[in-house]
Amino acid sequence: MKMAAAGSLLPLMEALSESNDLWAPIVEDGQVVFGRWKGESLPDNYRVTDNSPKELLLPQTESLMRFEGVYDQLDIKEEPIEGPKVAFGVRPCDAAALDLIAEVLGSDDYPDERFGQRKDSTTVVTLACDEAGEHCFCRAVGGSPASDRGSDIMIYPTDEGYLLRAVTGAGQDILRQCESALDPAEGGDVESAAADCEDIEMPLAEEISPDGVTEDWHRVFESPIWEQLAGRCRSCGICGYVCPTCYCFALFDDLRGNSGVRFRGWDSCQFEDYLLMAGDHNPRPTETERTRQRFMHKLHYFVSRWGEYGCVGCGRCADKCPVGIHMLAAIKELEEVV
Amino acid sequence: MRQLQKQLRQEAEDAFADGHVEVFIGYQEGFERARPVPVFVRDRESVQEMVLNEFSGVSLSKYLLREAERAQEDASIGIVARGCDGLGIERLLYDQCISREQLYIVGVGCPGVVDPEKAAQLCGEIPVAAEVEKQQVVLQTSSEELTVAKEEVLRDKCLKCDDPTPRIYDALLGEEIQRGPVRQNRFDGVEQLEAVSDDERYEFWVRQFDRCLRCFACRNVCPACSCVTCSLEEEEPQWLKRSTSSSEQFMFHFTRAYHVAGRCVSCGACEEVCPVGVPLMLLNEKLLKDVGELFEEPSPHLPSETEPLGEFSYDDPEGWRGEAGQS
Amino acid sequence: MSVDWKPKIVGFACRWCAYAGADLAGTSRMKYPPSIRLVRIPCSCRVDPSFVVRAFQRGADGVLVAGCHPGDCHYTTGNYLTRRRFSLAKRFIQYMGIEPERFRVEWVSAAEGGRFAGLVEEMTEDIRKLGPNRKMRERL
Repeated sequence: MKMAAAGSLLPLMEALSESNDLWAPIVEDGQVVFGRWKGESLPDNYRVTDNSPKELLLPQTESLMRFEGVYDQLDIKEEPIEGPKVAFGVRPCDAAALDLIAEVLGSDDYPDERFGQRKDSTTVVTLACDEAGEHCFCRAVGGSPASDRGSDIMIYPTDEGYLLRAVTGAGQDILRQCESALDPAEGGDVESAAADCEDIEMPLAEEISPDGVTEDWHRVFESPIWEQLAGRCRSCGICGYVCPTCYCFALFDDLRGNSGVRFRGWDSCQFEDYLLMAGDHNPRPTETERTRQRFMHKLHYFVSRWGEYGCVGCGRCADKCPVGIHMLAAIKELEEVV
Repeated sequence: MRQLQKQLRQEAEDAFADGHVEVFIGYQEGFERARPVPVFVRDRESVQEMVLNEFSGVSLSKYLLREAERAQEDASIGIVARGCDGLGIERLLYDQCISREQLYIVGVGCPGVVDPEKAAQLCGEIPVAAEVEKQQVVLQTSSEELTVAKEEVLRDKCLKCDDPTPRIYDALLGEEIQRGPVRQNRFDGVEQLEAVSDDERYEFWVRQFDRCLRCFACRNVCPACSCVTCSLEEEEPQWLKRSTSSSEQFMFHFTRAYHVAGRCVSCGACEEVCPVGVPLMLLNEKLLKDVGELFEEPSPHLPSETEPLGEFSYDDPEGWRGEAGQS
Repeated sequence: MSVDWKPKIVGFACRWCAYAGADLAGTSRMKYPPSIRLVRIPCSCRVDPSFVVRAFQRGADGVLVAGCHPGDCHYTTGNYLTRRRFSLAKRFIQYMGIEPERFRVEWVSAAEGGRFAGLVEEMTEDIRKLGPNRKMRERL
């Protein structure tokens, strides 16, 4: 257990950046985004960044391979993966989300190699929360503001400074690198620091609970509530793209004569053409089915497959949806159904 | 506003009673008080759910496209419209996406809409109520009352508004308001950006576009984007690759803005819905500014029968003359 | 910048005038830099401003759109529309950060072989001074 100097994590970030590719919340034109660190201290009072750190493991778009030639003379070159990274100042919900996506993309049966390699080479340094944001509700979906799930190092803010704890071996290695920027934590009690974060006020988490939805899902599925909720949906991709636990992607080729690149990029179930099939059949033709799919997936399908909610309660959808169709609103409406 | 809300409900109720609307598009209470959401009222009883207050400002006009498609042939659609939505509706009318007979427009003389984010910054929490007065805005939180200047708390787009009252309506709530609440120069931002070097401007846009998630919210909310198949989704030829490289982001934002050039009504909805704060209005306003300058349109954002890029005049200027490298 | 870099210009030329003008420059044995690749189009108003962005994406250092002089359009009014459209697009592309020298719109008649050659020469020289274009460039 180490302690960083009170008041600022900057020396620690500087030390980390010396031999690592450091990513952290940065301010860009007034927006707090998760991006490559540029030498500044963490933004004041940020809760979650606009984009989620899942981008590091599952980039918005990436090229998978380059190919050239025809038929049996096809030359395929796999695209190398960029080097190791350190993700700093990740919030516990986002760190947990990385672990949650790994259940799907890192499963033993069908591992996604590129995701797996990136996950193994990314060290996650998580900053526990000392205050809940306007739309935070991690506790309602099984998370916690002090959770170390998906993290390699935990940082707990206290009145005297920041207490650091290595969660994994990789975390320990990284901590050793930047020992000079840290003070020994004399008398610091990491347990109580964690407990303080654990106990922060989170009004929304008390207010809503998705538990009933999972149990009574037949009734939920048939509920007319979806039509009301989805009526105002604009079929854009905001909710899926800012969500730290959404992992859908599509593959596409960029062809130039006999050569080309195969890309993959995010896709969202809220787009009209997401499930469009040959012959023009669309199993989810309107906003109603698509909205229902999004919430059913996170509150029921995911639960029955993986035993936990497919939502970490970061509140980004509530922040960003321009017409207020988000997890909080959905759960609140559904509570009246079940 | 409380008075206007009462009037609105009355108007809507009468419209249903007369049987001349099938659906009424307005606002209802959202998850939070300061974030009302669009609602589609389909019967007389539900009219009481409708709200109209200082926060209800989400753009509604684009919904008409979908509702008109789904509505019975002779049924009409009611909609509540502030000035900006009024222009959006005009846009759809001139583009022949909907017909005037089909609409029952309840206009609002709009004093400006409070931005909940800005208000939360000022109050430390999202206020529960607000009142836009002549000179200032009074915000009401759970514990206190705060008086602030309009510039501090109204939505950015309201600060540049020239058209607080819709130009077309069937009924008007309150009085016609002629002047926008603050009326900052519409093109300040554009002029600042024009003044920097080409390289700096390029870097500026690279940074903005790199944040873009390609969620298409800006396009989906735009009343001028009414194509059945968007050229950005066309696969043959594929104008826009699905890769989000910097190069493709330029193609996306160039195309989106240019396709509404001369037709943008400056409602600001695109910029407002952007989850990552891409300053889309700086693109739209540049085109509006040039349309105004080159083709002598005094208010290029106001829709009309003919559009600047759909017509020409024999003595048009050549916009590129006098620029570097151009003889 | 590599020593043997030469500007690459994509030219969109109306088949009735500018393209014929280029032809005349050739048959008259006029000399001009081999930096331009001409794309023959039916009328300058066929050029969608996206073509220009696409050319820059795919490696052009400069783009020229050339059509008939106003009043001379084979289709009577095509180039009047071009004039409006590109008055806006030209400024807009510069607003996005492309140097104005890299993108030009010009009128060239079928009789103006000399003018065409001169234009290409002028543009090539301007772009040579600026160096290769990296903006909007696609990296595959």
